[in-house]
Amino acid sequence: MATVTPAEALPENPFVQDIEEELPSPTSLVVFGGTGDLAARKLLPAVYNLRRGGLLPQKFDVIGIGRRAGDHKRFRRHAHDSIAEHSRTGLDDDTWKTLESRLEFLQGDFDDPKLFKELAERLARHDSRGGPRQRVFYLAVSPAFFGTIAKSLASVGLGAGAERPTRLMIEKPFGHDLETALALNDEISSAFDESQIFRIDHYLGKETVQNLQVMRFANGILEPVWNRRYVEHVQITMAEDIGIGRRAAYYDSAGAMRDVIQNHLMQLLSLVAMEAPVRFDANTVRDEKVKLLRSVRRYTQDEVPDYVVRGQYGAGWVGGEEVPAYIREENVPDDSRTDTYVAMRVEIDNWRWAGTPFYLRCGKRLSRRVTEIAVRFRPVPHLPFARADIGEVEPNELVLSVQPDEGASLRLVAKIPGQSMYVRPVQMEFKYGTSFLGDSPEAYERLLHDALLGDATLFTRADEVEEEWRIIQPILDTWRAESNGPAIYEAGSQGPPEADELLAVRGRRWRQI
Amino acid sequence: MTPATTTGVKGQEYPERMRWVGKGVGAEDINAELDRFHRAAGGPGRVLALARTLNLIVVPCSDRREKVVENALDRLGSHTPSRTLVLREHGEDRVDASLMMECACPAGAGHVGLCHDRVLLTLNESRLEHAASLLAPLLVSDLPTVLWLPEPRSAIPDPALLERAQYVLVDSGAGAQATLGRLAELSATIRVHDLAWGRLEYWRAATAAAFDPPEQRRLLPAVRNVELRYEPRGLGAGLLLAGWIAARAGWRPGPLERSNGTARVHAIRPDGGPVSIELAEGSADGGCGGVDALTFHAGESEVKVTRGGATSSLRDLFAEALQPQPAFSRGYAPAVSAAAKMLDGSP
Repeated sequence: MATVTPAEALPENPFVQDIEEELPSPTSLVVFGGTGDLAARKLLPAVYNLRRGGLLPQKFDVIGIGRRAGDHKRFRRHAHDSIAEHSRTGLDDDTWKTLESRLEFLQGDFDDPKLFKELAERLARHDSRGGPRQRVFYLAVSPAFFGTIAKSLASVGLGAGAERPTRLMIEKPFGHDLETALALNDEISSAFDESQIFRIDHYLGKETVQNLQVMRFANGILEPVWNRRYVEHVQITMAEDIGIGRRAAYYDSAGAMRDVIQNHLMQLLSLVAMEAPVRFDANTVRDEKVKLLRSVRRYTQDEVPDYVVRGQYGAGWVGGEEVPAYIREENVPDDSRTDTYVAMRVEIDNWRWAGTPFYLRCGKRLSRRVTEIAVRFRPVPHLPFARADIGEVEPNELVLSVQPDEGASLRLVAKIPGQSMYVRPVQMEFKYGTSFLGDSPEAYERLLHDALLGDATLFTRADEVEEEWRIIQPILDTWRAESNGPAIYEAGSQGPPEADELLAVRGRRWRQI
Repeated sequence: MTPATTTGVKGQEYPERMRWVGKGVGAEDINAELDRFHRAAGGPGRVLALARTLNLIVVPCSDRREKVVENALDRLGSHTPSRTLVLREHGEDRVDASLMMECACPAGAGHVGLCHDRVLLTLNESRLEHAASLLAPLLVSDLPTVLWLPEPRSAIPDPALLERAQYVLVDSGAGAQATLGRLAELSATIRVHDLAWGRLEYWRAATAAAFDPPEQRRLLPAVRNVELRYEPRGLGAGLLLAGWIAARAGWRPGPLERSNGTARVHAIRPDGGPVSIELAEGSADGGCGGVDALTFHAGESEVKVTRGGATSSLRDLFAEALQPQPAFSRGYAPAVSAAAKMLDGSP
């Protein structure tokens, strides 16, 4: 045997310094719900694209777990077809060949202890055959199974204190309300350590959302004006033109507040408004986000109607097609009071933002699909142009577009060329496609890669989830006690007119969707 | 000045191209035509803008490489630089120019279309020696400028072009191994983005990962021999990877020795001990950066790095190399310098 360096003098790895994209350690990725919709549309294509980009380790296996009967061959065929249909880069045979043999299938019920025993044995076999691997468990299943699966994994030594580095990835919803969210966190944390739990909010994997932090904290000109003195208000919008599709079973019990505001929009809010983190690491960033969420004002039941508007879409026209009302959607009860639209005014009670409102808005069956953050600056204190008729002087506005076109634009006022002193707003635009070459990775690729590397910066921590619920729980309680249902808005419109009243001070109005 | 001819290819929704050819022209004429293109491409209901990515200057090369250059540029699609300035040589004492502007015009209202220019400039040898003066007014301001050397060993006609550029783009895999010596010199003065280096990214990452577990890392100071199997025609890539390993492990390489189809480099480890790197040609040609397998031997222990699934199309690699990211060339200068040292004195 070679003489090796003693343990106390572990040499540096000299090869890591030139690595552009860190390569994860050898990994066994276990996907519960491996033949389900999420795996087909997002997860398997993300695995494929990471492999294609050389971002997966040599020793990387995927074990898909499904409740229905299947075998390796059928699972591989399913993965092949899913990747061909959903991968942003298509399917290249050479890359597929390097992945195909790494895909395995395991059938079993999630509440059957035998499944977990068999899984532990399978993972141990992989380790003994090809060397030790970290384990990443991705729960692409109904949240009803989160607790059961987490505890079953722990019962066979695959949870907290596992021999190998182990991570658990779960997707929203993280609870149905504050009480169930706390219970879920308790249940999962009885099986896994918080540092092992990676809660996905796929919005955090989007380029613009990550760029938000770069824009704020790497550009010296923004920070001095990013506060109540210069920002008049902020609008955060996530509008969808689609309805609920076949998700009635989930959506009718959730609604827009739970489906979007509690997670995606609260995350965007915290990123827009938080203080600068000292370092860009998981806990430092998340500490700042939690601080911000704690400073969001909680409304009393009496205040809720003044600060929050809920709506539900009626029939209408979207994209040139006639669409039914929400209560006429498949499997939705006729008397449903579920919110498909929410607009709310958020007050942040801290030194930076006191008095500057943040307006959050989300909805289905609106006129078009758009997710954006619009920061409206205060108007100039005095216009020095002697003759008053110069046209409309709109205040400056910075808009960060998350989708469909990722980018940013800044509205300035400019003189219209000609003899007269007329002005109009002009846009300074930055679009990813115009300024950077190459395609952005899908959010799931980024998030999966980060999880494989053990970097939790873009994942939601338990206390963040709980603070988000604490903000919206009084609103949900108020709505439950109210006799009135949501305001009905026409599909394809801007939402219910009641939402306009939230902003109807100082000439504020919603940005056009 | 010979009258110019303009060809507008209209009626296509996407993409839309405009062309112009001029003989005996100057920078002012070319800029005027480009301005006219930009104005003409817009119109009622259409908003077009020049992409704001970078300028790419392509220095003259042989006829054989010109085809490769054109193919690469034609296939870039949305990865195309804002303005590409291609230099070519002819025998006439004048500047001829051929302009093409291509705009991608999205159908949806409110979308901004993107345009890219390509300017082919043909000039004689003495004008090429002052090419930077012609190109300076043609560069889109406030954007990075990249200098592409399709034949890295060829002389750059005007050294001032290097001062204009933020970095140089080459493909050492396309040239003879002696190219590495030239690139070692060049990388001492300017950042070099070598496509061959990009193709080796998988191997660098996999080597780093292989030595990351503590038990493997402890073996590194005891490595006595490295076997590197390269793909057919991949010795240059093999040497570049060997150079990187040597540079990062702190090994001082000697000259390359060749015998019976195998090349060997004897190097000295930081502790003064010997280490050899054997480079042998393999039979596989699987598009994994030109390298097929890599094994580190430390006594009876070994650390193996085998080929992975990294495949990079030229288009992707080219686009990545064009990005003004220092990360692309991180570690390149010491690697190519070590590889060049291995080649010094080799037959």
